[in-house]
Amino acid sequence: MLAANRLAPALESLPRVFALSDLKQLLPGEEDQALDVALRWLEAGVIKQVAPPRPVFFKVILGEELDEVDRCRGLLRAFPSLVMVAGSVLWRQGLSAQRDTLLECCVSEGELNCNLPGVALRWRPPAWWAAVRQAGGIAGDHHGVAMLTPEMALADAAAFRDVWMPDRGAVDWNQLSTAKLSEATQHLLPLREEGGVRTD
Amino acid sequence: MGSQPETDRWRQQELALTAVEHRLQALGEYLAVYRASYASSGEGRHYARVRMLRKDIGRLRAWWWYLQATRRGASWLPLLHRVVGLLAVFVSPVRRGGRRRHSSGMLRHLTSHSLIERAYAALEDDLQGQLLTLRLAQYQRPTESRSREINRLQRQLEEVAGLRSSGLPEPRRLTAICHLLHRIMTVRQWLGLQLPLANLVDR
Repeated sequence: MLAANRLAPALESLPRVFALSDLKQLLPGEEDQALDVALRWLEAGVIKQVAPPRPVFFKVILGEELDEVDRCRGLLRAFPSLVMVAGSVLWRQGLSAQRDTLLECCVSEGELNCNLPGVALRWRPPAWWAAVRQAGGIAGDHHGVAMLTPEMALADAAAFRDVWMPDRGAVDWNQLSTAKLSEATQHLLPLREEGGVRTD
Repeated sequence: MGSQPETDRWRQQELALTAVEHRLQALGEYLAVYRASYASSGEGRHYARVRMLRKDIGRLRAWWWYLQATRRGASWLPLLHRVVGLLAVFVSPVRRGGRRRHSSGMLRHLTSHSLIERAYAALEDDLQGQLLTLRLAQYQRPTESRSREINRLQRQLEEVAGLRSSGLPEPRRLTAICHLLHRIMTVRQWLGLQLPLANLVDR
């Protein structure tokens, strides 16, 4: 343990969000030590796993909340299939007057545990990503996290009914295209009919 | 019941398959989001990135097929090994760092050896992530069943470490295997024959 202590890198030398592989790079030739070091930090409560059991962590700093950039970074490192959906999309694209309290994202992985504060993960069937692509349903990204178009976000919320959406009156409907909304709904229809909705 | 070395080999093959399947899953998911995000951008660098990801997935699938064939002792393996032995001579040696730059200057191609090695490293990271979750829970609330699970994971980790250090063929041979089988898979696809694919998310 003494040897491990001597070799342990300072937590300060790592970014707010980091992966086990980053820690291993700080310990060249002593990769096994990385596991012991990470466990000590976890036990001490100075780091947490972003989404157990994925080997991605964030530093817990008292009185210093994770900002959106770091939350997005942590999610991206843990979930390659990540896409932002629902009211989170409408707010960030300026179409909603109501702000989301949770950043809602969809993933294809079955494990939806997430220790990041202010984040909610939803499951979608694998065919969802193909449907979104065919419908051209992605509109840029927010700190690297792909975002649905507002029309696709509405269609998705209607099809899966497991996400938060703002009140009707809080949405700027003038910025939405009826044709695109109809197209997005059509693309998601088969998933809805197949019973792609899963409740956890 | 097989002998111990046979059981060990079977377990190693199982782990190697798992590593490749996990990596294929992750790359497939990344590709799905990337294609959905940049499908309509029309920019060359995005197409190049998609092409590169698909190529990586193709080589990983080829390696998965090889591992499967090895496990069930496919009759065509001796022939493959003979052809690979001949082809390997013409395969260029691994470049420094196992990578070469794409002409765009932004993308990086991985050699087949690095690609597979990374798949094994990713599985090692995943197992270590699981181990950390379990150890933390065990530290907070110890149970006998969790202790057994921790021991099982530790054994698996040692096996994956063994795979990385000595479970891969020589880089030239590995490259020849991946490229040859990838081409055969492409031809089979053209002919409409069923492909020996890992159970993956269809993108």
